[in-house]
Amino acid sequence: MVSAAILISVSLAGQSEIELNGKIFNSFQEPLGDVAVNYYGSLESPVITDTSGMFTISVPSGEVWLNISPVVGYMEKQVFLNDRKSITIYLVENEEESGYEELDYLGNTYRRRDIVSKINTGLGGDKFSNSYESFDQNLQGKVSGMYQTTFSGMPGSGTYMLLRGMNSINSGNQPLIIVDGIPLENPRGIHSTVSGYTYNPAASIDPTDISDLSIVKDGSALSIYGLKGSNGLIFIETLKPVETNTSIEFKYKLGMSFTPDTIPQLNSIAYKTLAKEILSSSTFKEEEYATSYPGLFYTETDPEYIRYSHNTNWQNEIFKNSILQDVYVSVKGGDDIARYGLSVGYLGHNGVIKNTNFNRVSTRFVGTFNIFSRMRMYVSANLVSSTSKYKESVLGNQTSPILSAFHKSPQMFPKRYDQDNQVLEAIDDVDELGISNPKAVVENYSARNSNYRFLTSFKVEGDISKKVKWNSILGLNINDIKEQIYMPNLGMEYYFDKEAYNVSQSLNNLLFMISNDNYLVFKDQIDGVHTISFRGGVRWQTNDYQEDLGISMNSNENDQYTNLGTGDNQLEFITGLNQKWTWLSNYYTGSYIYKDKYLLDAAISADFSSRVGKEAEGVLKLGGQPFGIFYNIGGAWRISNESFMKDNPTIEDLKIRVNYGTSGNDDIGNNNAFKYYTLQLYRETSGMIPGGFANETLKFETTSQFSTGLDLGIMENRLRFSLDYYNSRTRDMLIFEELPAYMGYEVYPSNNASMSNNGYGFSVNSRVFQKSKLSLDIGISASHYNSVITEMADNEIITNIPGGGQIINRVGDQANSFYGYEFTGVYSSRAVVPAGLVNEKGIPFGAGDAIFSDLSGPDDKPDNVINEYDKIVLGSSTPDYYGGVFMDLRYGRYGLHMHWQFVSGNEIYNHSRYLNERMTDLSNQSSAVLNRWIYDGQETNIPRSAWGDPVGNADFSSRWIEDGSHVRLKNLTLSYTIPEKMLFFRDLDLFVTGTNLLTFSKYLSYDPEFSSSFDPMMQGIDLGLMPITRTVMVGVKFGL
Amino acid sequence: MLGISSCEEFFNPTQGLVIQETDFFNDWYDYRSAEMGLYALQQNLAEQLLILGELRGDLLEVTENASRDLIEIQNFKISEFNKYASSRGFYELIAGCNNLQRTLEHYHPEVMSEDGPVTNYDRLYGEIIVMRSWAYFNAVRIYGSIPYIPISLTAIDEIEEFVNSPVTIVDSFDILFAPDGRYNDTIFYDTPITLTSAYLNLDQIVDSCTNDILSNVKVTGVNHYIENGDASWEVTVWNEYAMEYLLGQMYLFQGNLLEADRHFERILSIVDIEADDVRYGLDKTFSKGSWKNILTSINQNEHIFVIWFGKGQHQTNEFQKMFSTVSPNSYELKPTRQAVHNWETNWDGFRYWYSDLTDHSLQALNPSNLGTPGDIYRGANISYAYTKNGIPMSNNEVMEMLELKRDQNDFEVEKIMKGIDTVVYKYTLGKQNDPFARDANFIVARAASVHLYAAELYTYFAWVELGENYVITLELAEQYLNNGFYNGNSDQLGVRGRVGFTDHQDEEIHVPNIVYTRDPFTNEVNGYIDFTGNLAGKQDYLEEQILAERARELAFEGERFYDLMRIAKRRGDNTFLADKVAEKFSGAQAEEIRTKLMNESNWYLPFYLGTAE
Repeated sequence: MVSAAILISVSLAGQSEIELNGKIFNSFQEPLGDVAVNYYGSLESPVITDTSGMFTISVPSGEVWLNISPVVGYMEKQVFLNDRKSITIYLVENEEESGYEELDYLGNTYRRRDIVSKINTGLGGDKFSNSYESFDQNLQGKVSGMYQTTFSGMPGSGTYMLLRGMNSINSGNQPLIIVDGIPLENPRGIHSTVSGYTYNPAASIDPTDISDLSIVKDGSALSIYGLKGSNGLIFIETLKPVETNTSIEFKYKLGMSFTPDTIPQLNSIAYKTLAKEILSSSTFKEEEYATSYPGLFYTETDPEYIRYSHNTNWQNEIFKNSILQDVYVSVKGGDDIARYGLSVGYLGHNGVIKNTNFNRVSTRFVGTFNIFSRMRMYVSANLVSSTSKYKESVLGNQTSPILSAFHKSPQMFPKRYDQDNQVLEAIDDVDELGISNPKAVVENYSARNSNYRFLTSFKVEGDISKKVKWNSILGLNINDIKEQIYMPNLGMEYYFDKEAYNVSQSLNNLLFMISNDNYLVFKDQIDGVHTISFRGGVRWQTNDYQEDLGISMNSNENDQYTNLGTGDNQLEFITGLNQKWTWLSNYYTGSYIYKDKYLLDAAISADFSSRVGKEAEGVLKLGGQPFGIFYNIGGAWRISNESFMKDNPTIEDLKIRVNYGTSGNDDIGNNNAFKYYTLQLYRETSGMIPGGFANETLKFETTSQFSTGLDLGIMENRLRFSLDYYNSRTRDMLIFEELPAYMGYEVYPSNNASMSNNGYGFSVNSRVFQKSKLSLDIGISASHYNSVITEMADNEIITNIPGGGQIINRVGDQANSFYGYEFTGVYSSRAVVPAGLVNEKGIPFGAGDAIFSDLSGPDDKPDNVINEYDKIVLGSSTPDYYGGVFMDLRYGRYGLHMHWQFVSGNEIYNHSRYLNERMTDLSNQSSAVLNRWIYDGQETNIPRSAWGDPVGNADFSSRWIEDGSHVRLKNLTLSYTIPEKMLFFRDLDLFVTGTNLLTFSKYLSYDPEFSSSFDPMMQGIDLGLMPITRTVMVGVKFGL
Repeated sequence: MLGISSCEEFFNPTQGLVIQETDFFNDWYDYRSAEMGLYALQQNLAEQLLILGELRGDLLEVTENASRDLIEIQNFKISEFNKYASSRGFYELIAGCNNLQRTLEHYHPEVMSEDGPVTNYDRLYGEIIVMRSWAYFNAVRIYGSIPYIPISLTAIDEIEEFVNSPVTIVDSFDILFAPDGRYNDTIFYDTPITLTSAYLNLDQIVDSCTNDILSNVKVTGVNHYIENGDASWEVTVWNEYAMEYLLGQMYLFQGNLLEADRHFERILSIVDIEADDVRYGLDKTFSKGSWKNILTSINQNEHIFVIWFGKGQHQTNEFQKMFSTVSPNSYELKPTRQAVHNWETNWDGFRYWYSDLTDHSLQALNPSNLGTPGDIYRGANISYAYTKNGIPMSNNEVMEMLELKRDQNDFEVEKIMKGIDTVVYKYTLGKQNDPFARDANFIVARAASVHLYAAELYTYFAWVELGENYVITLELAEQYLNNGFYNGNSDQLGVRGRVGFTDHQDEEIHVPNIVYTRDPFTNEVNGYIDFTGNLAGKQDYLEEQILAERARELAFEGERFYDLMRIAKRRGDNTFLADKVAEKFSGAQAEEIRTKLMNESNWYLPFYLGTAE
């Protein structure tokens, strides 16, 4: 050892050694002693700082890397000396973000600060997972550039995620989730027959299992994920067993979700007044409707009176506070040869709508094995089984708890009466007003969903040489979803256009996905100043998706047989689907760093997708198969290491990033590019008809993104600031072009559109305060995006949306804008109605009718007819800005975590309010309609009631469009850690946490946040899903 | 490397339940499936055909429940957003036919040659061509002029370019016909016509389609009966009679009565001389009380081509929904007053006094045979019904009401009719107890229609092969209309004879020199028309009678507006159509519609390139 040291010192003697003096502080200027300092490549023992944080070290040149290995509690750091003669180094605490944390990224290890792309890391771990059931919920408002909307308050539901805006209007917009190297399926492909229900792929991962989560918004990663990369990437690693000592973690929480504030509805008296008013506006004669709807006219002497004489708040019948329970145990451990992590979890959460729940049992095993000295193996296996009970949105009509609670007459009572007017336990059947009894909807309607997912990955890593490694990951994803629905007879309206009195329905989805990724990685640092890394490989994936749906109706009036096959065989319905698709990618990426100052990054990939047409133009053909080429080039400049700035102690880091790259989206339909035939029966035989006008030239969408960003760490890195701007452009965007009628097909899938999407996001993170036991961290993020159609064949496409509205995509407008009439009020009297103003049916407007602006006509000028020509853009669900604020206050063993989230300027089509205020039939309505127009001269903004709405007062218009801006206290957690010395085991945390405790919004239905679909066009349409709930939980966590 | 079974499978994964064209057309059953798919596309057209053919005519009108689209159709104010205005369904069928024809020609080129034994492929080939002609013919009657797409074109830009570029067509049949169906002076053979774009009018479509059928179809109609054991299969595919019907109808609309006659004659002629069997003669199968079975069954004695629907097979239409008042149906359309009057003022069992008066105005009915009003086998509770709260008035009640009307007791009539809805019953018949049935068949061609077409053309067809004797053809027309042409065989009934209006000569419709006119409600003779020496007058009169008979026999089957159009054109008199249609409107709107329909171009729907939905 000594002789070696001599040899080295001799060999170095010829060089000029530099004496370097340095100081090491924490970010609050407190000197740190006992910190080991050395330089890269050194064979000497490290020097140690003294109590004032000072050290002196001899380094061979000014271009070396210093390794700073601090005492427990601080992060390691590598600093490029950069010809400095003296140096001040700040270290940050473990939990803080330093940029020096090492990260497995695209198969190589990088320091976070060396990645040219915009990525957010460190989002996993169980720091905040205490309060969420699905990892994506935890991210809301935290990641700049990521807009998220929670689907609903249904336990286990996830979020609709848009990373850097919307890149497509007909293909999916969701980022690709990659778990332990295996890309998950596109959730848009998983179908459901429950209206409003959205499959959440994230629900099959227990958030506590996630040890690393990174979100990638631009750069090489997007390009090497080629055809799946354009919406961004979310990398998840689970249960990473890093330590060899055995640790056991146990977590338990118990909580309650609270019912939402109910929407005030008309009481019995007001309801009857309205109902009679509506009937009198119909063409029925009074004696007719008095016989048809006797319940509105009974007096106390009538024997049936008691049945119709209540004042029920039906919302109270469907909602109730609900319990949740979450148990989790994990074991990690092993030795140098084999390490493992094993977890078992159970979550049971009832929804606030009665008889809804989500139960998940998950098991996960992760193991790493050093088989030979040069070969390692990683296995991850995850088996999740979840069962849930759902209810439908208002589109489900007879089966929606919310809709039936809104519309059921308050006169009625949930239960039946016997002849002596005694309440029975039995549910009251539907009365002549015809709305399902909400009690029957919540108690007897059932939609059960069971999901088994087996997700496993098997990875082998071998060292080929010192610097080159070979990897192969084989993944298997089996996702089986079964849905069984029973719509009962008793207490319910009839179904399927009133033909069926009960229905049983069964849907099976099975996805079988195999993927494989083989790649080589290389990494080297040359002379301490050149860092090169490279990855190249081939990835393939095959998917087989099968779906079977069976519906059977009218099996038995007594609701006893809830299975398929007992129904009326005239009304049986069976269908199915079997689709297969494949993906192949050959990719290369590499990066180069010079002196911690200049960073360069590049990637290229060639991607095949079976969905792309064989005649696709402008793509590479290999062996006759179409391949898309995607690339990225990016660079970063760390200005803070330039000579003019390197000695400035205030600026820890200043980096400018620029990226330009392309990526694709092959979510263009499995069959759109192929001539195919589809089944249509004629008589008793199977007929096949052409399935559409195939476009054999159809190809993937290509998104090119230019992005630039600035990262700044000042005040000893206590204040970290990041600003990003991006401008992306999707070309060859999939649209369904309208064909001239003589083509014989309505639409034609084509790539004749493009859209541009730009936005910015900034985030600030700071440890504001730290003194002895007290510390405070604050983070803020805010973002904005704009998604505008820039080119489109025929200039515009109008799409009907469920609930009667329309969506327009038009060049120059925000994508997916609402399109309808402009509502400006109500005609107070006959005199103010413009003469001759009629609707599209030729029916004249009168006093009490809605004022719709007559903006145009067939000759481009107002024509006194309110029809299609008068429709305008009414806004879109795209917010002006959104973001979040979070705060961590710690005092010794106490911790307070707070997470706010805000959205501003998004428009919502409040379809559930439309149903609750339109006053066109005998449904009960919200108390807002007390202000309806009743008498001549009345100034109000709620039109008159009218049977069947002949004039169209309730037509889709700005009347139903609302501002969805809101601010929400997403999470508040108070925790306490019991001192170790009091315990036999490692640590014990107690916490109490609340989610969605406060919401500030002007929105008129339950909650402004919801999403009913992964379909980009369905965003911002309130279909009356289970509202997001306030939940409070207490929990305990300890480790052994 | 890929670790999967085959490279080919990776790059072209096989899809289940949708079949890529490359995996299709392996055997006869694949072709048959593709052909059945075309029939399914025809089903999609039934509703549109019925609406456009009837709602624009004088027999059907909207109720207050009607949708915007229906109101627009009735008012001849049709926006591009109207779903019934779209020609897409026709072209979907045309494109499907083109595609299958092309495929068939490629894999089975023998279908194009005259030689060799007749196979099912030949029959299929015939069906495709006939079906496509039917689609074109219906579309051109609706839109006035439409693109005719050659089957060789497949790509979008090819088709677009073809449709929008000027074309020259050489019209070998471009003949203008005189009203008598004979050649007129202005005959041009093989005249090249330059069109600004490839939109053909009715005349050109008929030329092209008849030419297509006559030169390419050697046989049509696969006999699925052999496999299915269900004889109704024969008339639910485009069989040879259906082809003749279509050809006859196309020629009739073109004014080529000679050719029309030739094709109708093939349907009406004796098929089995020994058994004296006329397949489509109107025999007793559907006489009197059995007439209504035409609407509920499919039978080769009456039905020539039917678009089949079946609830159990998930093939339904919206007819019942639009016509029925019973929940959940929406009662959007109802018969007009005129439609109902056509039946209710059809008197049965009356006789004239027949004195030898020279003053014809004094002729009267025999007091012992004043007759009864109504068309009991086709009218109330069969083609239409009066319903109250969904329950039809019984025949007796209807009869009572008509008798009160006859006695001019309007007060009582009004009392009875209070709260009564008039509904189209044809598509509900046999399904009265199932408001969800929705699977009434749509009859495209049946024997009675051919008989009435024949009567119509013989009215004008003042020409027979043996000489210039118009009287004979008028009598022929009367025979088809009344009591059957086949005098030698008592089993052959005419259109009226079949439903009991020929028990006496006086109930029949004839055009002697003196024709008595009667009050429609009381049946009292209120005048006469003297046609002595006025052939044209007789022809017009008979034609109107035939038209009224068509209204009774074929109401709501989708042909009424075209009947009016055809006759108005034959007469060169747009008021004929305009007046009839305007009659169902009132006040200023009636005048507005009348004025509008005086202009022939308003008889056609605009050919919107797309619907803006």
